[in-house]
Amino acid sequence: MNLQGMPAQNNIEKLMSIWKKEPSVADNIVYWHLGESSNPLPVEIPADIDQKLRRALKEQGIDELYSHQLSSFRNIQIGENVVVVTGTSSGKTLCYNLPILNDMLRYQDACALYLFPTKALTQDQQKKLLSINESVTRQDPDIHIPVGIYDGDTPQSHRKAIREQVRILLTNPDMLHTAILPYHISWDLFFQNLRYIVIDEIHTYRGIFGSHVANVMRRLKRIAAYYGARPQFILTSATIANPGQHAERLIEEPVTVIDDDGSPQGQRNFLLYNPPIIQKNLGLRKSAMVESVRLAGDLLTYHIQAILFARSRRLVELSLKNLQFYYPDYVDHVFSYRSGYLPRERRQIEKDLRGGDARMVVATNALELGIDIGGIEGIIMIGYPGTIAALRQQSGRSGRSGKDSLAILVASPNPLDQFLMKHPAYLFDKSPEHALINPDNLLILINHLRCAVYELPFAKGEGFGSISADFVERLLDWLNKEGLIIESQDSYHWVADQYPARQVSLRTAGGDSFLLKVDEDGTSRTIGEVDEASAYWMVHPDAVYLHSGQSYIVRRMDQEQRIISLEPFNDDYYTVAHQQTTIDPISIRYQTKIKGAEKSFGEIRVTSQVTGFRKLQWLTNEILGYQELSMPATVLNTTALWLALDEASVEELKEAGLWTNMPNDYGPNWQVQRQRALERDRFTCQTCGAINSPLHIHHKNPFRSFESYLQANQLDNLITLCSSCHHRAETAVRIRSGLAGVSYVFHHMASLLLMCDMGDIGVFAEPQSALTGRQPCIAIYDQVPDGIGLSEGLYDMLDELIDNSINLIPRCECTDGCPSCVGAPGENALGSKKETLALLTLLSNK
Amino acid sequence: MSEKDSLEDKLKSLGVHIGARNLPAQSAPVSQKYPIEEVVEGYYEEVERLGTTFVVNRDYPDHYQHGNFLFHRDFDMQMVGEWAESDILAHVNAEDLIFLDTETSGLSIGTGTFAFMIGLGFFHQDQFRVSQLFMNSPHLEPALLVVLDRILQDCKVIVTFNGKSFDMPLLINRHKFHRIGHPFGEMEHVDMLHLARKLWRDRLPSRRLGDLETYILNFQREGIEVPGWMVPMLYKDFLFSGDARPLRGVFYHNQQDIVSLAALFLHSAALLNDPAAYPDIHDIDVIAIARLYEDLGEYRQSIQLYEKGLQGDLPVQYYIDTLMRFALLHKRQKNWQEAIHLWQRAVEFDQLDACVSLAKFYEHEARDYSQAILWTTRGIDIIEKSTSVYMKALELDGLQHRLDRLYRKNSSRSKKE
Repeated sequence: MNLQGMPAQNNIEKLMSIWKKEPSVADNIVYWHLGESSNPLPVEIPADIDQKLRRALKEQGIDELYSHQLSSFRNIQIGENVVVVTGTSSGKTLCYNLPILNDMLRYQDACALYLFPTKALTQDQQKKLLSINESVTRQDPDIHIPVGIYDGDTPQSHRKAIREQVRILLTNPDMLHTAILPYHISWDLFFQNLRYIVIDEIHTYRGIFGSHVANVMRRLKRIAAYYGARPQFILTSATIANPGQHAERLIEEPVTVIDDDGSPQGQRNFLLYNPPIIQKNLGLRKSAMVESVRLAGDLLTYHIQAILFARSRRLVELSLKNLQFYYPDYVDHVFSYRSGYLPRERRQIEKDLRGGDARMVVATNALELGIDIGGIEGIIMIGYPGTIAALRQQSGRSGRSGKDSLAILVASPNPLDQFLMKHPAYLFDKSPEHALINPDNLLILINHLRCAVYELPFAKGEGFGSISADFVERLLDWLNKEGLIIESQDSYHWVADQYPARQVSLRTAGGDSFLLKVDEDGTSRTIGEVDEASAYWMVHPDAVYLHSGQSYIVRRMDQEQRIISLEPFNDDYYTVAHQQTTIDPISIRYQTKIKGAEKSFGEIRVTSQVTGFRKLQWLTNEILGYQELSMPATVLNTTALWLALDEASVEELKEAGLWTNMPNDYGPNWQVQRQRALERDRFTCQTCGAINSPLHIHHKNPFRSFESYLQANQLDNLITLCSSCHHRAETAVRIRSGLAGVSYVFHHMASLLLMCDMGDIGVFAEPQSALTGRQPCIAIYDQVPDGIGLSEGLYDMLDELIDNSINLIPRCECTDGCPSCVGAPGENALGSKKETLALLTLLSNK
Repeated sequence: MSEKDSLEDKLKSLGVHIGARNLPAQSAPVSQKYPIEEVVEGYYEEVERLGTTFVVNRDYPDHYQHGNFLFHRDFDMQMVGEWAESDILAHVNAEDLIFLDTETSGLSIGTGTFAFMIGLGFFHQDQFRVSQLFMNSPHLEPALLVVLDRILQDCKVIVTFNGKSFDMPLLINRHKFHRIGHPFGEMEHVDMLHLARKLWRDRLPSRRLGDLETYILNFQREGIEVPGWMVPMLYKDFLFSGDARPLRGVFYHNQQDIVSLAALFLHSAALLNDPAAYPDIHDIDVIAIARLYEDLGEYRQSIQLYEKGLQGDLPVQYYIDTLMRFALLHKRQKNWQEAIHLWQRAVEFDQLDACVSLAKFYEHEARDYSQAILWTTRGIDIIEKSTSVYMKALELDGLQHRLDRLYRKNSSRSKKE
């Protein structure tokens, strides 16, 4: 079969016009973005670039620069730190390779450190550097810039040579943390001559991981200073709302932002596709995967080479099977690709893509970061990949070299997906996502301070990054009390028989963690760690847990050994834990009055206990069942943002009288049960004791939260109340449902703004709370001890949070609430669209 | 509540418990400190601007008996120098050697580990001196290194135990860290552990210094000895408490390490130089030395030792392996008769490789095809008798081909005749 066919450009245009006329597709395309193609004028390579480098670039086909590459070069020349925030395939690499290599050709001893978050990126970079190197050495055999990768895969036999000779060192933060910094004496020549540090993809260094990396940077700078070096930083980031702020927090130095993308853009077609609703009340939609496969089939038919991104391995396999089944002509040209493959297998697929043999590749996000695989013309994403930055990077795979391209986001039922379907501006304009860290988180800080003392004794009066010398001294005193360091003539020395870096994982918040072990084929291997604070709700017994795209089920949780035993899981559901949570205040750092409420930021204590979990159908989010659990309570001391509703607000809501959704029919046994309750309660109000006023029977847990009237009307769910007590109880329910709705939508919306997973923040609402002196309260807190910067960042973004949440709700097609807006009826949220909206409107400035 | 307290409380409430398993051993507050000079006899050596180092010297008289080793200084380093590939070592006297062993604050070689005690052993005037340099506090490390370097000034050869992986890189790094030039580039370094492996790998369960001390030197330490793993902890406790009394055991431990190291090394040197002078050594050791000689190209002596060892009391499998190895040596020297003899002995133990070697010899060297067929057939018999599926799968084909080839060659020859 000749698959060469017509040039891709025409194929895309052709397909677009077909789809526009096909109702089963066109009706579901909620947004059609036609990106402008641009062809900005390139700029000349500066005259002061070394001739050999110029020639080397020419050999690679580069004889001009994009404007941002030139800006980067100039800014670095004058000694500034720089963060480059241009899109994918905009030639970011040259932004740092050009100035650095140019400098190294002039100063024969200069060294540079390049940090990448993945091995694949590191490998890719090495190739680029080596080819430029080769060209330079060909021109002048005396010049040789040794480039080396130093990571977990580097064979022992090579390590010594690299330490002694390398000038451009490629590695990752974990390796820097455990294998380089604690052994810096073996790298003395390298550090003495360290002039540049490149940190790639800094948006991945956020949350806990980012806070750790910021501390590794502190240690790195400290050691460089010890050897007399003050390196310059060159950072790159995907498009986020706060690249400059994030960069400056990460390295604690001023950073110039370069975000004017001077690279050519082909015409990018970006489609937002929302599968049609098939069940209106519940807001159920057709499967995103099925729809994606259908669209993918069209791409195949029109010879548009494409990647299909799915969020889990399971989904990858399922999609692949579907594709092969429905489009058997293409069976040999459709492949799956995931990180579990051997490097050999991956290279083969990459080769097939380049060569055109592979027409479609189904992948998890293994390909997401950086690897160049030539002219992929189309991208389909099954479900929103979790952050807008990730979405842009995935869609950026299409249309390299300025050609036309096609990207399609097919929405899943997830509220964030649905939100984006209605607010496409977020995807194309300024990003709302903020990368946040808290390097001063006490747990994280103290662990890195331990590592730092191990590396170099601390002198009295020495600070650590932006941490004052005074505070450092107090922390060191504490380490001294713990028997780890000793004070010896105005400095603190490490004396414990321990190697601290090995005990500190850059991915956890410290404290006790559980090891995740997979039992498969008779062997057991460790795949990661989980903090105790998260373990009980994330990996409780029988939980379904997703890790690197693969689903596992928890078979056993050994609390003494701190081991979670997992097995690969291929069934059709996932689990969500239920927790009972109580919140107590510890301290308030700051507070402001806002419209309708008061917002505060401070420290709280969260006591949680997992009491059970729900099973949810994987593709549709239908609830399949519920199981009880008995887990230990955990206590979390962390930072939080909370809102205390004014009394005036509460009154306003009460007066609005939101009663229109109350059901009239409580089922056939209602009269009987009602009578029995009255008799049991001896015709007395159970709250105030009144016997004369008209009596009502009140459902303690609201009628609608049960699956059947039999359960709802059981005697122990009924209570006799007089009319005023009943009114008050109902109001509480109403307010509670409004609060619950707000917390549901806040949870989703905040995780979008904060660029974190929903599991990274906790949201809590109460009609009366200890936090707020008995006023109704909504709280958002970091799920990390001592806070990781999330709720702190949210404090200043509250208006954005409220307004975005308001925008989401009314435009949802459900009747009275669904998982895509305020939560499904029957859960804690009770399907309370109107109540939620009313509450939010009260708080909004608009 | 003071700010300091609340920091500790906060840390505790966040669940930070790092050092909990490493609490300093402080039972009752020590009202009176026990400085090192009151606990161990020694003196302070001053280093200008850097401070002091505590030095403890212990002299062992000539003819000191350490287990079954007698200390004297008439040692010929020729053979051990050859083994170490060091011309310098081959030509020095015992007085030119310095034995070195460190005690450190931990086992990793990162920058957080340092040596707090360096023990040195060397022949001094009429005696064997063990000189121990001790650091009272981490800030005195530069002084320690300077005193060390003074002693090592004219040293030609330094001997350690596992020094190549541990002590030497550590000391070099500590010099670099304090920006003091180190002398180690100017001297030969011999690591006794590597020699111990060559000599005793096949006979002893481990090559740890303690085990060698017991099995080779037949020496028992006294009760004051402390095990190596405890040493870092004891030093740390001393730093916190100021009580040096428990360090007595550390000094003793280090001292005995040096003396045993010296004894082992000198013993090995003598052994290698003249194995015949040690008629009572274990037969396995004889073979080990034979192999060592073979590696050095000293074939005549190697052969003598192999012959001697093979007459001795060896475990069966080891005996067979040695036969094969010895046969290989003869084969390389083209001593065919001797090789054949050895292979034949091995065949008696159903050694397949021996059959193959014989078959090869008769086929390619002697061109005696009927003999070759004999041995090939014998080999096939062995395989078929064997219960090892693996062996059958691997070897049978090869031998079958050989047999076929031999028959062809044999019949074509008889046709010609």
